[in-house]
This record gives sequence, structure tokens and C-alpha cells, in this order.
Amino acid sequence: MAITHKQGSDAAHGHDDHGHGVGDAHDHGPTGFISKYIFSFDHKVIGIQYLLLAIGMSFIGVGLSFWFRTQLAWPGHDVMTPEQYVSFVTMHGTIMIFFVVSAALSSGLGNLAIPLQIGARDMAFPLLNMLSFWTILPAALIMIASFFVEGGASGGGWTVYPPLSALRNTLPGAKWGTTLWLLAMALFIVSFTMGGLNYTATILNLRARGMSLMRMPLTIWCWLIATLLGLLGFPALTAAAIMLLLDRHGGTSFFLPSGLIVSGEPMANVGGTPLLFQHLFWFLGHPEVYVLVLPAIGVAFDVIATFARRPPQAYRYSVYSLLVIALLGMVVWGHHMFVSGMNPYLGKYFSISTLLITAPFAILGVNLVGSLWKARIRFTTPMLFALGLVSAVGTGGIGGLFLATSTADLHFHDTYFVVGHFHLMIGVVTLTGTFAGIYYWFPKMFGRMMNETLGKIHFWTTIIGTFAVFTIQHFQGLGGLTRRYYEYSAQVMMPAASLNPMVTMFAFLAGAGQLVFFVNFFWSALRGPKAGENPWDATTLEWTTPSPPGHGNWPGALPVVTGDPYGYATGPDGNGFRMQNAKD
Amino acid sequence: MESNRPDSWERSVAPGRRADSIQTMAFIMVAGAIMLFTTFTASYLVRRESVDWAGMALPRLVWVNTALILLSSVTMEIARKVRAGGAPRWVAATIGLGVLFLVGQVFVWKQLADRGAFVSTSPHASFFYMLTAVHAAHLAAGITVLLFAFRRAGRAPLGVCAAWWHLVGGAWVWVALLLAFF
Repeated sequence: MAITHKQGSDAAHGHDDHGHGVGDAHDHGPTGFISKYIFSFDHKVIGIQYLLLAIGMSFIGVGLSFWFRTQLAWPGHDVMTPEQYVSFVTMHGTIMIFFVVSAALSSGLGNLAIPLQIGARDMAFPLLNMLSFWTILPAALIMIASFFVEGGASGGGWTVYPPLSALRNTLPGAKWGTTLWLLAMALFIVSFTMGGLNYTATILNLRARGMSLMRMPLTIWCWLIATLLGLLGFPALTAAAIMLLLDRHGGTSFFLPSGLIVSGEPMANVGGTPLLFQHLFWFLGHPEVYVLVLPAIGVAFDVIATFARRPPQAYRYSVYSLLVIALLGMVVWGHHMFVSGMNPYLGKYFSISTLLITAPFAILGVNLVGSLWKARIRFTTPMLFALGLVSAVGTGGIGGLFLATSTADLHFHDTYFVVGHFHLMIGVVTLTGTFAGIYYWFPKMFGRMMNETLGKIHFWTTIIGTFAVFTIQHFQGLGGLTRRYYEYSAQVMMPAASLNPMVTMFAFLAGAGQLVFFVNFFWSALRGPKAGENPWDATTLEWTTPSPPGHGNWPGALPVVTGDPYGYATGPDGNGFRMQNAKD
Repeated sequence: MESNRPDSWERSVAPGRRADSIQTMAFIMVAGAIMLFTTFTASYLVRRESVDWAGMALPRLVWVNTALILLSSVTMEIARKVRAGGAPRWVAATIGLGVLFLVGQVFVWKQLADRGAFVSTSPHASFFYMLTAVHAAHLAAGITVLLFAFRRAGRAPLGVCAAWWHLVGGAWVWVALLLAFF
């Protein structure tokens, strides 16, 4: 290898300056358009591909919600049929959770940032990484295609509870829609598994010299823990999905009980237990919440440290809290099922274990807020979104206390209180985290900065719109408004239902804010001001390489880590900062 | 950053880290597979409490297959232990036993079908067909990996292959005992 090679001359990187052994096709930088941007092995390109997929899918996911919010706000105008309503709600949930939030935050930002933050040339298995994206893409296409089969898309809810989902004559969407839903989810799980194996191996085995576990940025910890949770949780859903498919197409009765009568016809099934499916589903379903939320919190830790110019409070305790959250997160799934008819003693256990989780979460919250104390905060767009995240974690978390208490949940279950709560957590927290990450790492994606004015408009419309929507929904739930209804006619629900037009209009406001983001994203990618190596005066490793980094991430040797990830408030006047690889 | 020459650490450690990465990946895949079979076990134990449960006798051939797969774990272990030169023979033996097991499982299915026990006949039969199929998929994955290992036997990470192979073997013993005696 000659000494004069510069970053960007792709062919410069030969076999031995990569972190992987011989035989990797990506050892030589790609030159053609297709190998560079389409079937790319480069984690940065794959990360951007995921982000673009998420942006595309968000148009469908959010569009569906606008459609059924219109129906809820102004019923009686034939905006949609009741069958379409359940389909659209189902598909909104599925698309937003798996193809927008998970794709953008876990897969998109994770792919982009993990190797850069730990000082690696690329992921441990670049080919697997590429396959992971090219598996989620068909999954997304199949999900979209399910709108256009006979009967339309699945209407069984994103939780696909049997018997509704296990029989093919219950709803129009149950005929083919649910089958395609299961197929798409199977591909999604395969894709997530390939990505997750890569993340774990990369984080555990490819860290730069000197990057001990306790020197990793908290984002990396969050991605690692979230990934492990997902990898251990998805097999349970896989097993449940296999049995559900057999119930649908194989004539078995794993989940189908005796005595079912569908459309006047008695069913032949006997002995199955629908409750079993709920247990299996939520064994993944609850950890999945942390799979989505933890990376967002991780991004907030990094962003807040950078713009408060202070290291996060109690780094170690944050890491321990994350581990405790992961452990407890695996054993609290039953709090989704308090009214399902399971044993009340079991309910008591799930109630207590769930309330326990608030302790490590409170530590995380205190640590996030603690960094702000007496700090000279720089209110950039990523910082605003990170602060918005902290606010949403707090607000959403308080609602969680009520829902975790099984006695209170008897009243709140299946009301808009639940809808408001989980949207704050896995909607607002994750999206503010994603946006904070996108504005923050944009220089590392495209070598340019995003527009701050548009960014702030985006932030305020998002935060006002979403908070209005979801806090009002809490009150609607308190007022007894039930979820999953196409139209309300019961007198007792009318006071709460009368707030629906307001909720819908705030949802439109939040949606309009996202258009500002789309314009900002694509305009800035092409025309934004050029970014330097470290535009935010941050300290972690991704800011020690040019923006955007070339193939192989560092033009020279890999950085060697010499200190903590958050070297802020250093120097004699306390205003300095120390890069994680500084030689001092 | 004055030179782009990889330093000695990167050159000497990087290839070893690929083996480490593969090991991490295999470890997590084993953990995931254990979660999968645990989930099926839990489902089985719940479902068998229903009123319609009626156990069916398993064909004797099941135990012949169990012996085959246990034997294949022995050959796999020998392949891992012997020097690189002799490994391919034992890897081939393992693959052969694995394929024999799969053929045996097809005959078990055939015998059950001849008796009139299909996937929807009874909940026990449903579990039998499903678990044997899921297990066969894991075994097929193991055979595929071993075929690659056979081609580059001298350099293949046989420890990782063995971990997966023993998992598949152990899972089968577990599944067979569950289906036969619970």
C-alpha cells in the first residue's frame, strides 16, 4: 500500500487494511453505480437505503392514519367502509412499527453509526448486511401488495390475535391479506436477524483498539442491548406465526377453540387456546417496544452530551440500568393481557415486575436531564429533538404507571388512553430520536448540513402536533372512549368522541411538519452547506474522519481510543473538549 | 493519520477478529434456536392440557433416527478434534448421517400417513409434523454449512459448525422425548 493514497480513491483499499479477512468481495472499493449504490456492501450506503425505505413507507403509514382519522373526526361521509377501517388501522401499526421506526432507527441509523462510532472499517459481515436490506425490501413490497389482493389487507390488528386472524372467513382481509402479512413479517424477521447478528458481532468483535466496553458511546450500548432483545424475542413470534399459518392453511387447531361460529357457520376446530398466542406474541411484542425505544434514548444521550457540552451523568449507572431494563423487559409481557382472562395472580406478578421497570427508566431519565444542569446548552435542531424525546419519555412513562397497575388497567384497557400512551412511547420517542439522529449525523451521510430554520419549524410542528394528539387521546380514554371503533353512537362516549376533530387537525399539523423535513432532507443532501470533519465539536470517533467518510471509513489507520467517549467540559476554563482518540 | 498503511495491530489482529465475529454470530444463533424450541415446548405443554388431547404412538423408526443423529454428533466431534488432514472424512461422515436422518424422517412421515395420521388429524399429530419439519429445517441448514466446511476443511471454523450440529442433535433428542413421553 502506497502512502500517498487518499480517501475516496476507492481502489486504494487493498486486502490488508480492512478489518475483515480475505475473501470479502468488498475489500476493493466498488466502482460501478450498481455495486456502489444499489447492491452495496458499505454500511453507510445500506444505512441510507434503510432511511429512504423508511421515508417511503412513512408516506403510506402516515397516510393511512390521516385517512382513518378523517373518518373518526367526520363520520358519516363514506370516507371508508368499516372493513377498510380495521385494515387501515392494522396496516398503519404494522408499517409504522416495523418498516418506519425499526427500519429508520435500528437499521438505518444503526448501520450508519455503529462502525463509525466504534472505529471499524465496516460491519462484521458486509454481505449479510446487504442481504438484510434486500430482504426487508420485498417484505415491504409484499405488505403493500396485500392491499390489492381479494378482500384487501389484513384487518386482524398488528397483533394478529386468533381466532380473528386464524380463520379465513372472519373478515374480508382475513382471506389473503393476513397470509401475505405473515409472509412479509417472516421476511422482516429474517432481515432483522441478519442485521442483528451483524450488529452484535460488529460491536463485540470489531471495536477499535482501546475501545473497551465501558468506553463505548451509550448509543452503541443501546443498539447492542436492543438487538439482543430482538434476537431473543423474535423466535417466540416465529413459532407463533408458524402455528398460526398451520391453523389458517393446514386445518390444525393450535389457537382455535371449540364452539366457534363464524358468519352463522359452526367451525370444526376443537381444543385450541387463543390465550397461548397472546402470550407468545407479547413475549416478543413487549421487548420489541425496547427494541424501538432504547436506540432512540441512546441517540439522545449522545446528542444531549454534545450540545449541553457535558458528559452524561453517571455513565456506568446508565449502562447498568439499560441491562436491568433488558432483563426485566423480557419478563413483563403479560401486562398487555390483564383483561384477557389469565390467572389474576399472574396479573399481579406482571403488574409488580412492570412497575419495577420504572426504576431503571427513572435513572436513565435523571441522567438525561442531569447533563443539562448548569450547562451552556446549544439549541441546535438535533438538540431540540433530543429534548423533545426526554419530554416524551417522561409524559409517556407516567401513563405507563397507570396501565401497569392491573386494577387501573381494567378501566383503561382498549381505550384511547392506551393509544395515547403507546404512541408517545413508540411513536414520539422513537421519531424524535430518529430525527435527532438524522440531523446530527447528516454530515456523515451526505457531507452536508441540514437547514437549521427548516429544522426548527419541523421540530415545533412535530412536537406541538404529536403532543396535542396523544395527550388529548389520554383524556379521551379517561372519558371512556374505546379504541378500534369505526364510528361512535353510544351517548356515553359522545363527550370524549367530540374531541376527535381536534385530534385529527393536530395530526394534520404534525404531518405537515414532516413535509418540511422531507424538503429539508433532500434539498440539504444535494445543496446544503458543506460540512467539515467535526461540525458539532463532538468527541466520538465518527467525527475524526472526513464527512462523508470514504469506503473503509478512515483514510489512514484506524483510530486508537485513549479515553472516554464524552470528553466535554475539559481544559482550564471548562469549555474545551477532548476527542476520544486524542493523544495527550 | 499521516499514512494509510495499516498498523501492525490491524494487520495481525484483524483476521482473528473475523473468526471471533463468526463465533459471536454462531453463539447468538444457537441462543435463538434454543428460544424457538423452548417456545414450541411451552406451547406443547399448554396445548396438551386441552380436553381433545390424545397421544398417538410414534413409529419405532423415530428411535433409529435418534441413534443416527447421536452418532453424527460423535463423528462431528471427531472431525473437530482430529488434525486438519483427517477432518474432511469425518465431516463427510457427519453429512452422510445427517442426510440419512432426514431420509429416515421422511419414512416416519410416510408411516404416520399410512396410519391415517395427518397434520390436522389430532393436536399431537399437528405438533409431530410441525416440530419434525422445523427441526429438519435446522438440520438442513447445518448440512449446508458442513458442505462449505467440507470444501475448505483445513481452514473451516469446525468449532462453530460443531456447536450448531450439537444444538440440532440436542434439539432432536429434546423434541423426540417431548413428543414420545409428554
